[in-house]
Amino acid sequence: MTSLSQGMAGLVLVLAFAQLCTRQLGAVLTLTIAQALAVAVALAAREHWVAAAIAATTAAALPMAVSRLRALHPIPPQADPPAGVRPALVAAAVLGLLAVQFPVLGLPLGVVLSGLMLVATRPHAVMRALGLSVMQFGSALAYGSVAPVLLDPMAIAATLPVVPGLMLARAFLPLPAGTRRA
Amino acid sequence: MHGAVMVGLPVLGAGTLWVIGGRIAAWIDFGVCLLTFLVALSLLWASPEWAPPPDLSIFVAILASGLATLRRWPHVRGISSAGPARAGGLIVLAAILLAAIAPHPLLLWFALVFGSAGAFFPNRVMTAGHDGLAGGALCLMLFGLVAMHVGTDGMAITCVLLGIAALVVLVPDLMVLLPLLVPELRALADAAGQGGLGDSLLLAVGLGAALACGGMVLMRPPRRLLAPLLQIGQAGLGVFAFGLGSPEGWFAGFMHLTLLAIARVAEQTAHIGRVERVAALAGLGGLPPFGVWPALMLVLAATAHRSPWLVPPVGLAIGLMAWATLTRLPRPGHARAMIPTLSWVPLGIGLVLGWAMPAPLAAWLQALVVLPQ
Repeated sequence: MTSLSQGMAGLVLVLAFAQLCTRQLGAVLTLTIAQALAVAVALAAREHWVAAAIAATTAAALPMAVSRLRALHPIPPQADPPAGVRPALVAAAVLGLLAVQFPVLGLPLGVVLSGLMLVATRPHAVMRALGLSVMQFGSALAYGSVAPVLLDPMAIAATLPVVPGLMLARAFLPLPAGTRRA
Repeated sequence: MHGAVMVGLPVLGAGTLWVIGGRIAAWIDFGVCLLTFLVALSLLWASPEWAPPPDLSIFVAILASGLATLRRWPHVRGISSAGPARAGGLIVLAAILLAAIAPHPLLLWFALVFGSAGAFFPNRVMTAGHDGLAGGALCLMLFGLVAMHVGTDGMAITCVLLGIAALVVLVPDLMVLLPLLVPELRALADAAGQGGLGDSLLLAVGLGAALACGGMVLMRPPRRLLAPLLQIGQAGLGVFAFGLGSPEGWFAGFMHLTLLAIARVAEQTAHIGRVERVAALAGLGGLPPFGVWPALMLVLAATAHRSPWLVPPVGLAIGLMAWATLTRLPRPGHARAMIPTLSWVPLGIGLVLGWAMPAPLAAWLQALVVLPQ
């Protein structure tokens, strides 16, 4: 099932480029969910069942978390990058071309760097959290390229969205006096 | 057992501070840090032989908790900060201690995640950009660890080093971990048969950071950015010294990062307009007698011994930072500026460590940093 796994990794990279092209939060969210499902399939194809289940759960949890956040706070549906989408897209393309030169982890590295571009160029916190999720998908795909090990802590760390989860969770907490939320 | 107590105390303190505010919160904050420092100090003589073990994690734990205690004192004396910010500070301390005693790189990564969360959680403004970049640095580091697990070592080490470097720049409180993280990273590179690449990366990242920060300081940034820029630039020189790959270089890098952490706390605890703040800023910039100046000489000597062709760029970075600091030092503002305060304690400790270190302490510190063979 190596070809299916690699095909899914390529799909995740293409979706990451598509994310960089759009300004709409809803579109980026949909693409992130599609990426999570592709990562789950890639991991399942390599028989990493626990990691695949975590990735699928992430795909289900992402829209719920963002819609709950929208109910709590007014989040603008569109976030324009200060320098536009083209510089980030060009930078991601160059980095992606350099990344795929690596024989084993080229595609996952490309995904990680595209996610980093999304994090670095988007001013909106939810967009940045989604970019962090993309970076996490790159780690999960990298882990997916090794032989299955039952209950490997590295698999859990690679797929569990700890960092984007913490960033989103922060927005749910009550604000202390004297601070404001954008 | 000691480790669990050491990490648990700040976590419990953070939980308490989340609900308790006001003046008593400052005392709780200070007391928790002091207790943690005492527990860390007790680790020195916890072994049956009653001798300090040559363990770098114990040194980092003592350094981090001691400096945290010193930083809390001005808050007790009247400089207030919000309860959640104090709780976040204690979470950062707990994360540093957990990272210091973590037996596995993955646990170290989780400790850094919680350290970043502690630094950014209290400031819950959603448009602050640094939190996203810190998360990106953590994800890059995780990718490096996974890649290391898979076996592609060169890319893995690069990702881990860049992740750590970016994280330390974005969360300066974690800089106290550098004397531990850099040797650990170099040991990982060595275990993977990539020791040469690890050294080259440390040299490039360290020298690049030092030169970039030296240039930025020379361009007269806002005064509030002076100390953070000097801190990053000097940390780059410490990392560079580790990359020299010689025992002298490792000791120079270790001493440099240690003195830097102490000088930075002296700068943070000093009031604006006081003479100790001027002394601390000068020490951060590499001007004698306080701060990192003795360690800078060690770095220069180690560079001249190992790679003489690197002396000009290192000298340039040192000179840039020293000159820019000299031209931007503030003047003490009022007559009370000469009355001694607690800020002289870290300045004095740095002075003793740099100029007149007792022989047993020097022997212990030299035993802490052992170059992997």
